[in-house]
Amino acid sequence: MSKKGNKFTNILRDQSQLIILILLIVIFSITTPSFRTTGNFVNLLKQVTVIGVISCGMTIVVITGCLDLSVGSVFSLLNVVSISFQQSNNFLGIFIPLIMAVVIGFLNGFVITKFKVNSIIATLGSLSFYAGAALLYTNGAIIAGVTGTWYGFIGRGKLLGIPIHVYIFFIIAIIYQILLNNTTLGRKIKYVGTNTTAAEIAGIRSNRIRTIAFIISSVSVAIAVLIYSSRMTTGSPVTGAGFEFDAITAVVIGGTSLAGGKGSIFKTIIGVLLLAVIINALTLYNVPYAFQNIVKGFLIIVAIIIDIRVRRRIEG
Amino acid sequence: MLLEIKKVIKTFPGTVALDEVDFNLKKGEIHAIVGENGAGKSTLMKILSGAYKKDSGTIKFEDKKVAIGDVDAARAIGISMIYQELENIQKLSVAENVFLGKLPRSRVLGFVNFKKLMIETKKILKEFDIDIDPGKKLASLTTAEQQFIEIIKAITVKNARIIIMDEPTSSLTKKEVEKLFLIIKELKKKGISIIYISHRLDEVVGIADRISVFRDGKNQGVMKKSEFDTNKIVALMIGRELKAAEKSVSKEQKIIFEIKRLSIRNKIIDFNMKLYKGEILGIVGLMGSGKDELVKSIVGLWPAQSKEIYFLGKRINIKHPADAIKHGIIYLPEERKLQSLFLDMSVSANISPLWLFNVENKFFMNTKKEIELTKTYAKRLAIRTPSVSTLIVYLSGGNQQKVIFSRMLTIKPKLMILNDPTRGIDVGSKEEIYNIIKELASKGVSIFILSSEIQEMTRVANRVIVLSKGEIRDEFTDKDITTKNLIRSAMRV
Amino acid sequence: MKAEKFRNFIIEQKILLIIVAIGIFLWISSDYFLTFQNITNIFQTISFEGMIVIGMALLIIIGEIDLSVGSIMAFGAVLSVMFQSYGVFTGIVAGITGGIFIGLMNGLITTKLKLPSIAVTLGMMVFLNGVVFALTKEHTLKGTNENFVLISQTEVFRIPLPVIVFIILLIIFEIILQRSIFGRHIFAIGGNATASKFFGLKVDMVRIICFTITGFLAGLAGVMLAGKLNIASGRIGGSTAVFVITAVLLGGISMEGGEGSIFKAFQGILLLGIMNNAMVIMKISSFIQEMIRGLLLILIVVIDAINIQKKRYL
Repeated sequence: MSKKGNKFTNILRDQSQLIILILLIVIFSITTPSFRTTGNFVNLLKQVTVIGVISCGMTIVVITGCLDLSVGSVFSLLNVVSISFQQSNNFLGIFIPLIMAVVIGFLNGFVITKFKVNSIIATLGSLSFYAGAALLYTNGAIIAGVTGTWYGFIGRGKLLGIPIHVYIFFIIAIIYQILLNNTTLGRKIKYVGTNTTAAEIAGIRSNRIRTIAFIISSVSVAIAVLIYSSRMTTGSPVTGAGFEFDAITAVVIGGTSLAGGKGSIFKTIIGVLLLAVIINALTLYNVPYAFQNIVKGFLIIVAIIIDIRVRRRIEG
Repeated sequence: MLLEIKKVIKTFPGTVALDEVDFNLKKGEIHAIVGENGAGKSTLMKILSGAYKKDSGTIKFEDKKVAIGDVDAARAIGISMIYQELENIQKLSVAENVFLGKLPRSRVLGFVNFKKLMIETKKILKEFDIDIDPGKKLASLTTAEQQFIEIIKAITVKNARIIIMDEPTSSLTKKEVEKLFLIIKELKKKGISIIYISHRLDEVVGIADRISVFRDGKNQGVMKKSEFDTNKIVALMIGRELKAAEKSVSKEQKIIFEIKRLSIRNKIIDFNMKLYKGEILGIVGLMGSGKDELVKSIVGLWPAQSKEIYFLGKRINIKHPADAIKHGIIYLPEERKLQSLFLDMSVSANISPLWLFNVENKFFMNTKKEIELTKTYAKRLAIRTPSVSTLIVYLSGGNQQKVIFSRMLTIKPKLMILNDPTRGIDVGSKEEIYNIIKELASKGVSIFILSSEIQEMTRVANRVIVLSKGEIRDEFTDKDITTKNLIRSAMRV
Repeated sequence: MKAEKFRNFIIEQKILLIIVAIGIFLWISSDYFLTFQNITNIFQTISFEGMIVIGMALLIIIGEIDLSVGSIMAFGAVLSVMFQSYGVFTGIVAGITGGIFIGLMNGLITTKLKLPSIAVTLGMMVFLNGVVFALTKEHTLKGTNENFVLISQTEVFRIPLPVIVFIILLIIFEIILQRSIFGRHIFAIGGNATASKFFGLKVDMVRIICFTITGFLAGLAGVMLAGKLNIASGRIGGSTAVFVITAVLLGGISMEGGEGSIFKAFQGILLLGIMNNAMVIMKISSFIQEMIRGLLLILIVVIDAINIQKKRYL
């Protein structure tokens, strides 16, 4: 590690994902005519907003050094809850999922921090629990909502040709980024993720910070549910299955380290876009849907390999 | 002569650990090495056991030059080292630990001959008159027993010739020490040589055939059993007594801080202490004295069975470092890299944590203010860094420690608890840190300082408590704080 | 003295006692419970994932984990269905080889690149899931070789073959774990990898072999599972990782590593099997069952963590 390093190569290495993204967009634009239409780009952005918001929440959790595998099942649960209220009281359809999200996030955080349990295994348990809860809530069926809720404009409205929820996604991302970089809470999150012992000795209650991170993650899921349910008329209790891996893939290939401490929302957005562009290209090339998971899994492994900070210390 | 070491040099960036060291060892000899921390004992042993490589000098084994490149090479010669922190497998049985890597094989390919394993282990244990059931889990043994097993393990190596023991008695009772010595004598009978490193002079003179005294990376002198003289040994250990440095003592004798009835299971027995405003109080103790757990429990980092802390006469409750900080009590951990530094973050991010959450305490961060703060303290403490946003991992150890000091100063502490503040720091930075500490005391900050270097105490402390096996043994003030007194007290001489 | 010994015995065998207690409860509340049919059913159900529990136990003892076992099982099932047109034996070999290969990959990536196994196997799980979906084209594959079902439907003394294979594997691996040099090395490395390496143990090699064994067992489980109805789909194995890890922890093997036994792992999965059976007899919906599974994993991992924490400040 050179002390000063060439400033240029440092920037290059740091923003490599952005560069790859730009390269891919350029390459695909040249080789595939259907890629570079505005319609395709808008379509692409539309698809990323739901996963994008969830990934922003996941980024915060990853920076504290944990993972939240429950986001997919929680999405399923909050989605059916939200839609089930569409027929009676729209406002509750927004309010109740948010309350539930806070409770779920608190429970996740509490169990993991109070008992010092591995977050992957604990949230794996949550995943099962909330997946079953979603199925139980709808009794396995798909429930019906209504068309034309008052907040349907979120999912269906447009401003200057771009869907409202795309704006919401970017606003959320900006809020989270400000939280992370410009607030004391965000700084605490970074300290806890970089060196928990040092953070504790500096007076930071790391348990509280991690719990807050999990709450942020679950609340992000609730916001994503809002975006999603506002344009759906039916709700399936298994919609969110696999969302956790999309979110983790986006975060990890965006360049946020699984070891904790380093990362940013900006990087995650790049990751989300990168993933979307790759999937989009695959679709345009008529590659079957099944291959998407292959690509995701492969990218996760590659990203982990590249992330040197995650390497175990050499034994002996 | 079994082992001959001549003019070995070993340097690290900023320090000379071994400065042309000479040392020799006879066959079947128990040769002790004494010396202060930092004198070079551990470094030489690490070279012998293959963990470090010497820069220059010769090592001869049985009159042949050897190069000990790595741990396997050392073991091939027959050198085994028993560390202070035992490297064993707690969950396995005694027998499996002794024969780790050399399990006796049964006739069936790939299987263990458990019968033979037990019989062989019992045989060796019997030779040394150790009454332990080889089938017991290692974790169920006392520390002393585990140490004995460690020794047994070391000699089951094919051609064990030299065993190095580093502070083997630090957590042993008197009876257990006697047992250990019996074992060592038995080893001697078998023709195995022992290099025995210890701070316990009283024990050392009882067991050693010869004693070498190390100081400042050199072997200051070798004494034969017939010549043993503790006064001479201590004198060789400390060399020239430095003139006690000028220390200011605060005129007001106000008790700012008091600890009563502090007890920690297995470590500290009913500790009581008063601390005055502007005083620098030192705590000295060998390994096993409990001083680390003591200070950690004050700030809530180690559980205490009972603990009463009084600040200006009022009782306060400290369960977490955050509580301590609220009362102006700050702790400096002994391992910067693991416990203080946020290595991947900038210098300013490392200076600001306490300030951000206790002084500035606003929801939104003012990065400008943070940079100003960093610049102020960088100047005040003479921290050498290319810029405030340089990652702290690139700074030298001394500058890193100064950053941590700055961190503590940003919230104008009333009591600073410093655990080995100058560990691994170059001499120049050490001086700077001593001056910072003295300046703070003169301004009314009380300081509680732990150190493994006894010399250091004489330079900064107004008062020194000597801790031994969980209890206060002695207390020295002002002119009585001499290296000689401290060493003699700590070593129970 | 006797009271002390009795108390220790209860604590040591608490899982076994819980199993017996639930068994007695079910025996009282349902005539059906203690029939040969039902008992065999319980064993039949747990045999497949039970084989995987063996491998997971080895991994957890050595201080690793494998989240991809469910996907490996699906992979093995799919391969065996795909290749059985060349013969039953070829189908079996294909499935098992697939499992061995993935296990080997997991082992190599984790040890040679020094990455945390939990992250690597997480990625592998997603990757392999995609592969399985691609191979099955998101449908359920039907096997073309009628004889294939023989591997799961054959009975010996009225006991289905999968159960027999499971029990034989249990015995073999318990012997290997407790009495072979390889097995003892697993304990040593799980207890203190640094010390083990220092004393010459081939830490990496042992780890890789454990991952490979797990891959083999998961592939085999997949093959036998496919043999039940001669079908395979990407939906297999979705909850396997949670189930298997819960079983290992429930049996009393700590995530800390360094101790345990196949017998303990067996107790864990037997307990899960009986609990499942109880829930079915009591007609608890499968949705609630999944919730209970999740809750159980969280509970058991919390208890394990509390035990580990207790030892820390001694």
